[in-house]
Amino acid sequence: MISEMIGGRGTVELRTVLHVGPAAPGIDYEAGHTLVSIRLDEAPGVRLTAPMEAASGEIVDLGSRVEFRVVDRGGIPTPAARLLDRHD
Amino acid sequence: MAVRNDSKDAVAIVGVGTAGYVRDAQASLRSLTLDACVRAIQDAGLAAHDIDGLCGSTHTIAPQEALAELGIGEVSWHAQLVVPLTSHVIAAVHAVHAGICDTALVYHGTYRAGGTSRSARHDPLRQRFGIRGVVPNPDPDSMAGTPAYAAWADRYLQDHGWTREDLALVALNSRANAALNPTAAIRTPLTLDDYLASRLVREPLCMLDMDYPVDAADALVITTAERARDLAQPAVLLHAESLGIMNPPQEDQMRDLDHTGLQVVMKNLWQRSDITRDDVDVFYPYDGFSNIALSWIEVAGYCGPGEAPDFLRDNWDGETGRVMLKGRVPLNSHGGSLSDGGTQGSGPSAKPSTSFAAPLACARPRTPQQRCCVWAGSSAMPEDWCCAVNDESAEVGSKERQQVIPQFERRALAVTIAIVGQKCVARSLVDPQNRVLAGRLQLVMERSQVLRCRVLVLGAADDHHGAVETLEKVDDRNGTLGRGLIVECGPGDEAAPAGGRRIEPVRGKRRQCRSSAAHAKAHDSHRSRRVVTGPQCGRHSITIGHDLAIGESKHLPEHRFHVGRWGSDAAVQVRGSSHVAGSSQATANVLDVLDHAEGLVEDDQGRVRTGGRGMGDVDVQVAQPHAVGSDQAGVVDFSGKRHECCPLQVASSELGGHGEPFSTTELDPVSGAQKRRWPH
Repeated sequence: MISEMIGGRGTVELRTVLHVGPAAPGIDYEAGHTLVSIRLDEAPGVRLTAPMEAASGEIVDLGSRVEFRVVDRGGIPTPAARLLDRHD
Repeated sequence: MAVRNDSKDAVAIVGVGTAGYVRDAQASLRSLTLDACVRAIQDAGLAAHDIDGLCGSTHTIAPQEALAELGIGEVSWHAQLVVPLTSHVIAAVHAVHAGICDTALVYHGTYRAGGTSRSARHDPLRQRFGIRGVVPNPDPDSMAGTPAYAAWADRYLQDHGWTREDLALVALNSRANAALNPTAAIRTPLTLDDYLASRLVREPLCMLDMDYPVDAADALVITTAERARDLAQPAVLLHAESLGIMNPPQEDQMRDLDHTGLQVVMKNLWQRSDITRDDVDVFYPYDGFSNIALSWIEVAGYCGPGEAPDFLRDNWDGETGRVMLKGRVPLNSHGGSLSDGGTQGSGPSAKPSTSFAAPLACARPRTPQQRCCVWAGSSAMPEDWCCAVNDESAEVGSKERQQVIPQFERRALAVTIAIVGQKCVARSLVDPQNRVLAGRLQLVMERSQVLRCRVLVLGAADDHHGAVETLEKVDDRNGTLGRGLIVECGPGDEAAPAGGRRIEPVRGKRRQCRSSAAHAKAHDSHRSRRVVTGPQCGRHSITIGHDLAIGESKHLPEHRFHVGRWGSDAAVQVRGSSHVAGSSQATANVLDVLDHAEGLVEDDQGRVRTGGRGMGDVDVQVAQPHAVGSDQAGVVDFSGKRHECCPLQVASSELGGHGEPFSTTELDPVSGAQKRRWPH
């Protein structure tokens, strides 16, 4: 098995803001739970799905550049996407 | 690959049945499913023993259970598949065509379980019910399942410059069609303003973009075209079928909306079919999510990718506020999943009355093979199916779907317990007029006429009369008692016969039961082989009218009724005696079981049992009442009443899991009763 470290940057290809879903610490469905699927720069055949960091219902543009990072959400380490500047 | 369609027009739909689509059916999913099955069999003019193939959806009961409770003797083919129902139809077509069975019963049922709607989520009863075999995705951060539909809807809007107003076309069309369908679950007029004001649930999808949760069940009977000629209903020939998945199939990995199962399905369907798009008279694109309907329209070739909203506007019939493709083809004429009711695409199956016989189609002169329908649906975008149906008759399934049980103020649990043992029902849940009970019994009687079962009513002493009066009222309308269908059960014990009234069958022939001693002996000889749960039975006993009239014959309380129930959750759960889910679910199942019991008979071992074709049976055992536990969810408060509650205990018997193997049954050639052979 060959494993390869990748940077975790990519482009938003799918998005939705959920107002219903399984209850979890740190998720406020009333405000909105934003999920995105990202095409990874270094693995273009794969999309990775994650919530937006500090999501509070704001929508993110398709094509946005994001980076994955692990955040603390309600005390649980959670992979999340953080918005980058356009040129990143 | 060469195009093959070996089963073309060789297999037919000959009967359809539905339990109705309602928000609150006052009955369990099991019961609804069986209702639909019975009606489909009835519609075909067949009897249960004519069915030799069973294919059900994983949402509802397994084929084994359907077989046992419908009284089907044996089947040579069975399967349980995930939705949509057309997958089942296609499987059945091919099973029939291949000769592995002759006549298949296909069924699906769905329940407005907790998680499907806000009101269901706040309903402690519904919270307990889930869709069988379907575990909701517990991951809040996953696109799998429903979130992806929203995400792809968003992509569709973004890629083509559409807005929510364009998605609204689907919802508006479905609602307008529902207004023409008296059996649709929601028919209130819908405007664009209503739509735009609707709560966003999964952006950009609002509540009105997602199918309307209902309690519902549908069933079809499928057989060879040859056999169909001799049956009650004119055949609907199945002309071509198509299924498809495209890789990558995962919702968030799909390449785009131009590379999905839909493309596979439609390409192959048109290739296999002599019917062309121009021949199609009605079209049922699945609209469990509004955007899927747009995709189906495009992929079916009515317009190009991304053009569906414009196409719908171009084909909008201003007069009726709905789409008429090319001025003549209604789109989801039944109201679609969005308004007829969300049943994972089974909607068109049981609705020839509203769909095949859509106003326009009816207006045209009919000749064989003139009208056809494309029934397209999906439970998931990447994996789709489609049937082309060659409809030779407008009359198929012409009976309108019945609203089986009126909307009463109480729910299934109350009904259930009202029948099974009223004393355990908190007063507030007892329907004072027994209206719920009447509705319920009405249904039971309908069913009993089809399957020649008898109705068993178990009532606690004080409330017993109410139940019997209700029965009599129902009978006044139906004349059912005259057919000797009622088996009355009242409380009582050896010394003091029950105070319940006896219903004297007019033409029914009463059978004498064995003496108590004979029963006792038979029972004793048998007891060692049985797993007896709970305490030994107390003073409650059951006497049985019709076969065994109240006051005339006594039964030992230990007698058990074999009621044809495949061993699954309920039977086991209730043995936990205080398990919350167990208590209500078990009572629900008891009711279902009683509904479908063919009648109580004695077997050659002196046990009182139903004549149902139980493969693996559950005993309904008269027991001390502690068997039903408290209900922490607060639907029914058993607390403080534990010693008065339900005089029934469902005891799991030889269902496996207790160290005993499944038993086998056979039919007694003389009496017609089933004998049980115990494996040695």
